[in-house]
Amino acid sequence: MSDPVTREEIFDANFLERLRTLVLRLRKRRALMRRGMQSTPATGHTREFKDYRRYTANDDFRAIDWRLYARLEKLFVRLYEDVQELHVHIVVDTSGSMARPFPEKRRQALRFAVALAYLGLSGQHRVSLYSMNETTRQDLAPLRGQGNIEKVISAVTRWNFEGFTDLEKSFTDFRPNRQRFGAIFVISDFFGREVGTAVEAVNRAAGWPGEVHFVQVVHPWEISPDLDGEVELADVETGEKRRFWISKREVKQYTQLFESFTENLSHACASRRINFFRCTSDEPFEDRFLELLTQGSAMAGA
Amino acid sequence: MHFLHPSQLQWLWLALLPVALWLFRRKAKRVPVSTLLFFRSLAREHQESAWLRRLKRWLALLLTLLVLGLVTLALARPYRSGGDDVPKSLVVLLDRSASMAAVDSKGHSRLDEAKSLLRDRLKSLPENVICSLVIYDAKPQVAQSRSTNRRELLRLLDQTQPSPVEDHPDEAMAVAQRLAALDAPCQIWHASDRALIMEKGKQKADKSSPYRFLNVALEKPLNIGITGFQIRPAPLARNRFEAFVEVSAAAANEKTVEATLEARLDGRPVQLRQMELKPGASVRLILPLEGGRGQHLEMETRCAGDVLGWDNVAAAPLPELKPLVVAWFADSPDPFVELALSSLLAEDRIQVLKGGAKDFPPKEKPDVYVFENWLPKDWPTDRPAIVLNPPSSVGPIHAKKLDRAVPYESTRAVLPEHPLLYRVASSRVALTQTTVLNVSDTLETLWMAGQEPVLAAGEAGGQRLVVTAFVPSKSEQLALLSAFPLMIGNAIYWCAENNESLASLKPRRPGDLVPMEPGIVKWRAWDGSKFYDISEESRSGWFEPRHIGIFEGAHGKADASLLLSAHESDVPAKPAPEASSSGSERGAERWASGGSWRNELLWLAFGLLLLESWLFHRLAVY
Repeated sequence: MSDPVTREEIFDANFLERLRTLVLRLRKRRALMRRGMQSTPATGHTREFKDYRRYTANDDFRAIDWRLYARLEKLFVRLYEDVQELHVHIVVDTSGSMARPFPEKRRQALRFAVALAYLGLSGQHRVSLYSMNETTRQDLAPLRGQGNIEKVISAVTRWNFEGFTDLEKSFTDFRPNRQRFGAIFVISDFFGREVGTAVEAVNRAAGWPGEVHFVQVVHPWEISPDLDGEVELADVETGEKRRFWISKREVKQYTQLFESFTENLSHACASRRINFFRCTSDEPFEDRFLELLTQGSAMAGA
Repeated sequence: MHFLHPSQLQWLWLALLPVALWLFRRKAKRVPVSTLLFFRSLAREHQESAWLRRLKRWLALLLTLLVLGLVTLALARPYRSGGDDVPKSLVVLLDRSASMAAVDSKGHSRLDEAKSLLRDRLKSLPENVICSLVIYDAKPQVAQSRSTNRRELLRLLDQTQPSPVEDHPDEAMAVAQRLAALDAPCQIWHASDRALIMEKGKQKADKSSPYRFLNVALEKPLNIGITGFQIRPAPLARNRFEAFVEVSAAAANEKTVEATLEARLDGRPVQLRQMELKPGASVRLILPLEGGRGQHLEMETRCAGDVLGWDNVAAAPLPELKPLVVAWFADSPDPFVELALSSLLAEDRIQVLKGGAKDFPPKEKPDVYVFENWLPKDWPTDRPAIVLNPPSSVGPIHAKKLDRAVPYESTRAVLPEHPLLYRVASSRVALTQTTVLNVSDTLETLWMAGQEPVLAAGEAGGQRLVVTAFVPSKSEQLALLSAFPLMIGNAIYWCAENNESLASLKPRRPGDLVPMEPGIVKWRAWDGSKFYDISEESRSGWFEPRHIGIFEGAHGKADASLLLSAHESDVPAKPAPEASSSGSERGAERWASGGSWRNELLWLAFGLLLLESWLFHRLAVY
C-alpha cells in the first residue's frame, strides 16, 4: 500500500494560480477559434452574440436590433449563444502501479484530475470524481461551482493507491449519467492483467455517452527500462517475482512490445472515437494539459 | 605423487580468485516494476527453482577450481615411479654405423628398430630421470647432454639416420661412462646390432653404471659385400688397369650363397663373375680392365636376400696417369738396366732422367731414385730408392763389392708373394752375384742365391728401398728373360706406391677428412639400392665425405668414398634369447615402468572445461 499523498506533493503553492491562468488561456484560445465549434444549434441567454433573425410577433421586443432597422428598415432580433451544461466525469486509476515504484505517475495523474476538475467547475459544469482499480467507485457526488475545488483536492489526497487494475470490470461498473452531455476522462496507465486487456476494455468504453478521453500516464523507465544482467523483478500490484537475464537485446525487445501495446490501444481508441493521449511523468504538466484539451474537447470551450 | 617441477605448485593460489569472485559475486538485483506484462514475453527468463540454481552455482565454482588445480598439477609435471632402483640418470648409446642400415623383410632398418625400442622405453621412463644421448659411428657425438627434456631427446632420436661408416664403439662407451659418472646411479642403454666386448675382468657392468644392451640385430641376416678394392694401372700395359676386389660373406649367413659381381665402365658392363661364398668366407678377384683416363668404374655384387646395400658397390674413377719421374744415376750403366727402363718408357707412365754422379742431386726432385754401381755420399731420405749393385755402404745400404763375381745357376724366391716379384718367374733366374749385402732388420730378402741374399726390399726410416746384388749383363740368363725388366718395373711401382704419380686408387672412407678447395662438390652417390646425383658445398679447405660413391670437387679431380669394411659387412645375427638374462631384463623393465601423469591431467582438465561449457554455456545469453 502506498503512503497517502500530501497536498504539497501534488500541488505546490502556485499550482492553483497556474490553473487559473491556464483556464484564461483556454478561454482566449476559444475566442480565437471558429464560431460554432463547440456550441449547440440552440440559442440562449448568454452574452455571446450568435446571429440575427427576422422579428416575429412572439419575440421579445427588447431583442430588436434598432441599428440594423435604421439601416435596413426591417426588424431583426439578435440571437445569443446557449452553451449546454456538461457533466465532467474524471476517472483516476488508483491501483498500485500508479504510485509504485514511480510516485511521479501518481502526481502527474492527480494534477490532470484536479486541473480537469477545476476547469469544469470554473466553467459551471458538473464534475464527478471516480477512483478505479479492481472496480470503479464514485468518490464525490457531482459538484458545481469553482469553490468546490477544495473538496476535489481533499478527495484525491485521501486516495490510497493500491490493489491491481481490472479494466474490464472497472469499465463495466462505470455507468455515467446519460441525461446530460458528458466529457469522460480516464486517467490511467492501462496496465491490465494481460497485454490485450486494455484493448478489450475499450469496447466497453465505446458506449459511454459524450466524449471520452483516455489519458495514459507512464514513467519513461516503463517505456525503456534501464536494466542489465540478472535481475529479479517484482510486480508491485500482484507481488509476483520473476528472475530474468536482461541484456540490451531484451531491453530493445521490451521497448518494442510497449510501443506496440500503446499503438494498439491508440488504434482501438481511434476506432471507437475515443481520444487517446499519452503523457510521461517527466513532461511539463501545463503544456501537456493544454495539448490534451486542444485535441477537440468540449472542455476547451468551458 | 612426485613432481618434476614442484615450484609450479605455487600457481595454486590462483584458486583464490574464483573463490573471491564467488563470495563477492553480484547478487541478482531486485527491481520493483509496475507490471510484468511486457517482461513475460522476453525469452531469457529463469524457470529454475532456487535450490537448483544454488546447486549449479556451487558446481560451477567446483569445476573452475578443479580445472585450475589440474592445470597447475600438470605444470608441476607429476610422475609415478615404477619401483626400486630407479636410476638418477640414463645414457642412451645409439649405434648408427653402416651395419645398422641392414633391413628386415618389412624394410625396417636396424636403426629404425633401435629407435622404436628406445622410444617405447623412454616414454615409460619417469620424468625426473636425467637423460643423455650419445650417437656414434666412427666418432661419438653427444647429441643431448644431461637433460630432462624428453621431447627433445625423442626428436633427436627420430632424426638420426644411419651413416656408411665403420663403428668404433669403445670411444663412444668411454664418453658414455664419463657422462654416467656425473649423475650416479646411472644406466647405459646401448642400442646396436653388436654388443660391446668388455675387457677381461670387466665382464659385468660397473655397479654404478649398469650396462643394458638392446640387441636389434636381425635374427637371420644374409649379407655379402665388397670389403677390399683397389685399382692400379697394369704394369707394362697402356690403358690397362687391374681391379682388385675382395668379396666377403657374413659369418652369420645360414648357408653358402651364390653371388654375382658385375664391373661397369661408365655404366657399360665390362665384366661379370659368379661366385659361391660360404658363411664367413672371402673371395679375391683381380679383374683386368681396359679403359681411359676419367672413366668411372663401378663394381656391384648381387645376392638374393642381401640385407645391407651399402657394401654392395665399389665405385671409383680410373686413376689418372701421370708419369713417374725416375732419376737414374749410374756409374758405368748396365745396358740391360737401360733396356729395362726403356721398356717402361713405352707406356708413358715412367719418365727416366739419366745422369751421372756429377748430376746428383738433381734440380727437380724425382719420384724414385735409381742408383747403379754408385751411391751418393749424402744419402737422400726423401724419396724411395732402388740400388743396383751398390759398391759400398751408405746410409741404410750395407754392402760390399766382391772382388770376384759369383755365378749362381738358380735363385730361390724367399717371398714370392712380394709385389716386387709379381709375375716374375724367379725359378728360372740364373745370376751372378757381384756384391755382398748385409740385409738389415728393416729389409726383407726376396731372392737368395745359394746362402746369399741377392735381392732385398723394405723400408728404412720410412723410405722404401730395393737393393740388388747382381749385374744383369754378367748374369747368364737374366738378361734374356723378362724377369729383370718386370722386377725393375715392379720395384719402381712398389717404391712409388704412396706417390700420387703412381696414380693407383686411394679410396677414401666416409668420415675421413679430404683436402678440398671450397666450392660445390658433386656426388654420384650410392644409397644402397641405386645411384643418384647430389651436390653439397665445401666451405673450408677440408671436406668430409658422408656418402658412398664418386665425388668431384671444384677443381675437377674425382675421388671415391667407399665403405670397404669387413667389420660392417659381417652383419651379426641376434642370438637366441637366454633364460638367465630374463631376470635382469625384467628388472630393467620394472623400474622403467613409471610414467608421467601430465597428459592425463591435461585431458581431464579439458574434459571438465567441456562439461562446464555444456552445463552452463550451451544456452548462451548473447
